[in-house]
Amino acid sequence: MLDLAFVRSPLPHASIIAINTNVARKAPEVVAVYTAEDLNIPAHHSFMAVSEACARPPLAVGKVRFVGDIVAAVVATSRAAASDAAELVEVDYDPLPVVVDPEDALAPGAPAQFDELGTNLAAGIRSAPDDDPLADAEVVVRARIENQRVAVVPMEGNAIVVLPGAPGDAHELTAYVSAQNGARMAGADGQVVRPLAPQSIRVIAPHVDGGFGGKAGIVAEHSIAITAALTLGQPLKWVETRSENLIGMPHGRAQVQYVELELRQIGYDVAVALTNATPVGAFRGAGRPEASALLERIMDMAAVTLDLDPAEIRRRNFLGPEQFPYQTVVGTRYDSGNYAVALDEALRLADYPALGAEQARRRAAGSRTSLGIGLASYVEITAGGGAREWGSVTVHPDGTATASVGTSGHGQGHPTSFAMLVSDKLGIPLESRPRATAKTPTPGGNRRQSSPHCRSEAAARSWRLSTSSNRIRQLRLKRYLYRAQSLDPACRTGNLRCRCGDPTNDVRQVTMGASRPTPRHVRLTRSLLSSVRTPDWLSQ
Amino acid sequence: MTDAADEHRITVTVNGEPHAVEVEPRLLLVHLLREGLRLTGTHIGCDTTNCGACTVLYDGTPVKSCTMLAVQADGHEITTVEGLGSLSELDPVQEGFTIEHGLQCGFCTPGMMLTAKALITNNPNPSEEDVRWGLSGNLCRCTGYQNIVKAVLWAAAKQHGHVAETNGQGTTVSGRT
Ligand code: FES
Ligand code: FES
Repeated sequence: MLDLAFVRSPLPHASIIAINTNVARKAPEVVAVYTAEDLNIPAHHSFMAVSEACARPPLAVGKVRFVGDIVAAVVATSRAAASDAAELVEVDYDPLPVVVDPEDALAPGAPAQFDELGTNLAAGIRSAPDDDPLADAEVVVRARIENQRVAVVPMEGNAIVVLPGAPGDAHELTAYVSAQNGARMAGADGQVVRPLAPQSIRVIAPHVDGGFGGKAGIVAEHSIAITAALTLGQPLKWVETRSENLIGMPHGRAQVQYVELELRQIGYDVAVALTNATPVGAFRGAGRPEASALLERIMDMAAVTLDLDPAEIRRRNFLGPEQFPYQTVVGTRYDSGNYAVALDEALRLADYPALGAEQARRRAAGSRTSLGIGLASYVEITAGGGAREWGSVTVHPDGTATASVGTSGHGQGHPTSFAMLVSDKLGIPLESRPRATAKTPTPGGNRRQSSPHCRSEAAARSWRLSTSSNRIRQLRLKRYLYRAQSLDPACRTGNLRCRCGDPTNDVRQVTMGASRPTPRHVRLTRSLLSSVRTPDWLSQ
Repeated sequence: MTDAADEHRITVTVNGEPHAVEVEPRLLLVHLLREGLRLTGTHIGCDTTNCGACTVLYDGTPVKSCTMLAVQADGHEITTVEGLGSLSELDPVQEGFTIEHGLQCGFCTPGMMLTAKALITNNPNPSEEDVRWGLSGNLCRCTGYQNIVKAVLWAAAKQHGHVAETNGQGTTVSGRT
């Protein structure tokens, strides 16, 4: 299989004067060297577009915008040869002024990242100008809070294997990707790598070793790998190095937050600035931790200003149970809640008064180990964003089953959770290892803590559907079981039961329990079991 | 960038099986294991000898196989995670990681387990601090280490048939072999 290596910019901001690939092209084992004009991949976003005008050209066009921006791609017959040849690509840069701080980026005269945009403000939103939330305010608390930039660093970096389909194959392209969100990638591939229709793309995200938000979309490296493989018509792989990962994988957080809180309302003014640092993407909670940190901090500051206990200021500002359903100023609808009860219970469990006393004691004693007490009241939105999922369960002739869902496990324990669920529904013991894998028929993937909710429901419903809509097959199965029992008394009942409740519908015992399975036995079992194969219920 | 004349012939015993292979002088041990011998249980997590995902046993001593040339393994014995136990007969370390939930994504786990194996072989009754110090060359992004430490204490107890001491946060297990 061919290997891909990238030539990356060592400068944060520079015009590209020339790229000379002649020497690299002639290096041993090199198959191709590509720059932007060779592959013509349209500029695209990773997975969420803050501004349509700021799409990233996967291979830099005209200039580079951060250390790690990709200038050229080298394909060779081994990884070592590709890396060696990447060092032979000569790029002539003309450095441009650099801005890495988002506040500096918004200052007048800051070096523009996208000249055609004329500003580094990629997007922004603020509360309506005529409704000044601070008018008539008695107490206003203000803060500037930095939520620092972090690298995502899953222990396994990005990796992709691209297999172009042969003529007549069901798929024009199959990609194995270390991705949180294989299905979303398939859709994105279809848009990015024209002219492929999403149905002709198959993305498989097998066991993924850590995502943390960093593997949520189609990145520049993916679209280059896919286009290169399709151009060459040959399988190709790219495995990110850690050094590449640290500069190339979108970073997290990197926010400077200005907050003004008047104790009845909060005003908002959000700006997204373009800088010469690595682009920022999702990271562990994807925006909610940053928003929560801001709110909790400003509430604590308000508590100090008003000389209130941090728990008390929260309690006073909670929505009461009678206020639901409630729509917030930014439009979010909350259906129900009783937050004071939850807070009181948390305080009771933590023995809040005792913690406070201990804190006071240490302060009075001048202890070197101080005790911090943090309070946070947060409502998590789960399975948001359309909550659709795909699931299928296939029962195999050996009595085991495979569940396929639209998400991959990458450390959360999904394969175990789904296997337990399938085990529970089908009565197949967990030791026979029901398997869960991620494939791509419909959008899904892991995001917003949704997997256990949507996917387990999808896996569970697949089985219900397969059983309830297959009455006739159940009858056939029963008839077969009856026959099987008369053939071999070892075919007992007990394990895998149909939902009809008839304990004689025991698939596992039929297949596994027969002490002398005859060829006919096996054939019949196969045909019956294949008939309970579940349709892709949500993709219809 | 090399031709066959540059290749070295070496013999390495991996998981008890001798392999005679021709390697480029610059080939790293981890690449020999993963690509040459297809033992992909050994992972690569960095380029800087920081993470320990690539840890294997070299004559019983844990080494970072990304930081050793394949030619240095000539005439030596290597144990990878594939040689630690089998599905039907798990090594106590593997059992410990299962029982104490010592992994999430599992990427760091092979390296952790081989480091742990050497640790508990050399120190049959490690304290929690011994374990933390012993694993300090292996990084994990997911777990926060708590359960990895418990897993290793569990394994030590199991391998040596005594009761694991923990600092009160862990489970106390009696090991039986
Ligand atoms: S791969 Fe990270 S230390 Fe070897
Ligand atoms: S379990 Fe994921 S890195 Fe350790």
